[in-house]
Amino acid sequence: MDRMPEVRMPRVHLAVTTPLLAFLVLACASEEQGASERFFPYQMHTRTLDNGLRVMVVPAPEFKDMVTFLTPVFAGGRNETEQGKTGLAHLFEHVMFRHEFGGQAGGYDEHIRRMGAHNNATTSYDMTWYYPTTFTANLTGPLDRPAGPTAGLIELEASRFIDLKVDEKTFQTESGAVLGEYRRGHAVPELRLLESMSAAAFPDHPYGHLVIGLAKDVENMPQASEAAWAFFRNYYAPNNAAVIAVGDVQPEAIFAEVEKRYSRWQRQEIPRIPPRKDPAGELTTHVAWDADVSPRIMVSYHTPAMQPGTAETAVTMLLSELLTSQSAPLFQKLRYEKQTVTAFSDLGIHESADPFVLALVAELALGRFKKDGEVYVNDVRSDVVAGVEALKSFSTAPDAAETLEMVKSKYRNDFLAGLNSTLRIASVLAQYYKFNRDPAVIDTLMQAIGRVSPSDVDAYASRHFTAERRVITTLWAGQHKAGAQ
Amino acid sequence: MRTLVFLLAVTGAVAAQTSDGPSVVSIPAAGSLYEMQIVIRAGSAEDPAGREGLASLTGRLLIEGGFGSSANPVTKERLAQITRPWGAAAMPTVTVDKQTTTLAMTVPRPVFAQYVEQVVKPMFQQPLWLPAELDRVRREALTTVESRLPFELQEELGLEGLDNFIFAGTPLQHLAAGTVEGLKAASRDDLATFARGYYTRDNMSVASTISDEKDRSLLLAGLPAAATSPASRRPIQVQPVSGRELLVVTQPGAIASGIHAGFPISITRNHPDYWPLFVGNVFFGTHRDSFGRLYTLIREERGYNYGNYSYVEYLAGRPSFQFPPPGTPRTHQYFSIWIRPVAHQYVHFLTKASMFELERLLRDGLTAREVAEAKIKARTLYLNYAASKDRQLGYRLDDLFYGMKEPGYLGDMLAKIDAATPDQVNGALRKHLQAANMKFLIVTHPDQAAGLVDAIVTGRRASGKTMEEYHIAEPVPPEKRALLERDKQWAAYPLGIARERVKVVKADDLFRR
Repeated sequence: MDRMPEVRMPRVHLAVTTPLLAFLVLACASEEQGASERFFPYQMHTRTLDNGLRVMVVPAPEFKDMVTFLTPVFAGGRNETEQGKTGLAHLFEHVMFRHEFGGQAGGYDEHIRRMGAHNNATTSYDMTWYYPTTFTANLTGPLDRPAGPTAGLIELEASRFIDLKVDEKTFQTESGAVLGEYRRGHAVPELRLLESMSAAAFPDHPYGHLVIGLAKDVENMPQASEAAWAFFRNYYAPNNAAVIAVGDVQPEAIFAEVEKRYSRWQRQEIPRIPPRKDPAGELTTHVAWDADVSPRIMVSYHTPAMQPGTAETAVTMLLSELLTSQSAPLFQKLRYEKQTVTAFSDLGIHESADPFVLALVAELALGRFKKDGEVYVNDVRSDVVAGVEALKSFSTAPDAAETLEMVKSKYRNDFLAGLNSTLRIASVLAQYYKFNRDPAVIDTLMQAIGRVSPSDVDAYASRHFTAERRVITTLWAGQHKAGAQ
Repeated sequence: MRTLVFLLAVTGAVAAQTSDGPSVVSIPAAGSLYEMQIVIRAGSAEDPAGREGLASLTGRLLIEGGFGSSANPVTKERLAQITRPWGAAAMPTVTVDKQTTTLAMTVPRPVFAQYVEQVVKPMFQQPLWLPAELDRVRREALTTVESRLPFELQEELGLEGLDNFIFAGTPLQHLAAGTVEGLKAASRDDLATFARGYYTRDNMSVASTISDEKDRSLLLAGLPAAATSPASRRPIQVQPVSGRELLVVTQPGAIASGIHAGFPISITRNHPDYWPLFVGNVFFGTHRDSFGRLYTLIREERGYNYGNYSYVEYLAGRPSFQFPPPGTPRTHQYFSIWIRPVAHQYVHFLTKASMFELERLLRDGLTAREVAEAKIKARTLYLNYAASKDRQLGYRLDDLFYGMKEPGYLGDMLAKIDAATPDQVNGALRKHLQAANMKFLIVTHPDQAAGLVDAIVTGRRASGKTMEEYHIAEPVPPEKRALLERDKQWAAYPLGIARERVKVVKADDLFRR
């Protein structure tokens, strides 16, 4: 199968940060500003059904004959509040492909196959999104195919979101697939660091577990179908989702077909997720690794929730560029001047619906660690902490204004360069739309970035980059004492 | 601020040959960025004998080797600094294949004039080929061909190894990255000479999303002058394969064995049989997809490995790329089969299986229903081939290489697939493919080589999994009977490779000279 359901992976290597960075970043603009200062290069047409489903259509005719029809559901790992039932958002992402369309086992997949489409989905903390890409002509059926009449894509998508039908065995099968995915991810040191940090930093919030779920919960998934169905009933609703169509499309034709297929979807009350309590002091955790890997140290700081249009959110979006890009002073110090680390990056997860963390990971040289042990780790720790907290006096550097303008310019251009396919345009839109459900969100975010001043960076760092809001996580093999000081 | 310009998207490309040289294609797109690709029609096939790797070094040094005034050069560090505010993609990248060198860059429209002045023009017109940078890039290239490829990358080793083996005796026979001896021998003067001979405006094609005529002229003015004495391209005479021959490549780290087979074909994308052949190949072995017959039989039904595919043209970026990238057009192509690594004991059996299945494909052909299904799958690939602007630009440049007119490869893809009839598909398969004359390349562990060769030339020891390994119990269910029957046919199939047509080489000797 082409389809490979996946959990959103943190980005790890610097070489790939740029496109991903662009993919992850967007912001929102208010209606009246939107008219005069457009950043998003495409026109958008919107319509909202009576049940609350927002439909966004972005014509991009240069992608001739094709369309990405993306459905974001605003629920992910963050919505898994029940003890022992983590990982269900992602399990449901798998299950959604097994919908018995037309009463036939595997019916949904069979129609997609006959139609000809690329179909995949991704689960993150705050959102699960489904994104078939196909020919514009396939949006509306019935389609004439050698294997028989085939439903149009919009009908198929509506059917699985509104009438999902799968049998108990499907849960067992997909639970097995998810367990396989968990095991693959288990060998990635960055994921284990994140897991350890999250558990300590978010004892009272679902950000305390990774999207894939906790090991024992993933193992118990075959018994969790009832809870999984409850998750679906709670969050898969028109007022907690949207549809986004990007490509060679006519907005009115899409509105008409969506209205026809989705109007019967019932609006419902969506459970609220209480935000985490304020952090109460520095935390330290350690992961003991069983193979001789390069040691890692992860330095995390609690960051605020995304609120498009605010200076805080604008600064949050620039953090990667300020701290871990190849031109950032901290990156250059660690990689080029002192050469104490072999890789340095952030995990790109600070853009979140609730307050989360900025997590910076440094990979250390194994040989030197064996020689110098924790003295070496502590040296890197001090440099990272000093580098991050130096942003408190960002504005005092003589070239601060110039540097910030350069960073903003790079950010905007990388962002635009990332909007290079129907899938990317639709995904980026969904990633930022989720925060306040404003179709003009990208313009809003970019306007706020435009307004950021060096003293905004100081203020942000003074508020958030403090010892009380810090979490230090280390990982290495062997007998070295845990917990760098 | 209204400095950003919002274009309405315009579809359709415009191709033009300017009077003094480069072919230019424009695909205007929405947004304030210009995407550009510049193809130089020279690659490793133009490496002089003994300087294999020169094209590749020259391409990289063009960007990283410094340019502008030698007193105050734009080094790679300064280039990164200059381009930083314009975004990561403003830093040019280069890809060197056997017959092309492709540069790509994306630039904000408001700074385009500045970009041409500070980057494009001095890069092409005042390259410095700084010796320290040459040393560094050469070291990196040597690491790739001396150790990374031969010792760490089993699948790439087999794929690139076959690509060279097919073209033995021609300028296409060595890696685009070069050979160990060629890379060591290439001098700074060689680079400068190569660039003077081939990096000339009459040897270039440009594709971009530039919509403004003035900006287009600006870019063209930044390209180097026409050659005073243009370098000629080396002639390529591909020898047809006669009978079957085998190259066994031994790799110390190989925990499994990969099987590759192929032979040159006489057609490329501009041939009328290309699309029917494409559809037939989608049926037989779509790359990285579960649709193809080879995948279904060997992985899905029998669980021997991760995937099994076939190709009617060279596909760069394997194994990681899921779809063929544009930018590696070739005047000469070949058909190939790739059986991804399998446990050593099944290599002989599955080599036979691949040939049995190729012969069966050509003998029995596809039914009308199979062609119809393959056409839907083939159409679906368009969604990926055309997914992004840079791919669309790349395919238009490939069109220029192949001498294809509008609407070109992508523009025609759907209509041509739709038009392919079962007769055309089966006809193209039978006309252009065959199984009698074939080059095989197997990557395996040194300890396995002698036994494998012995088994293949004597025809012995070709068995697949046992019933137990297949988890089939007596009495054999009807649907499994056919599988076991087919296994017997595979095992009995004669490969017919004579001992004198087998060669065993060490992986690190493959790219030495």
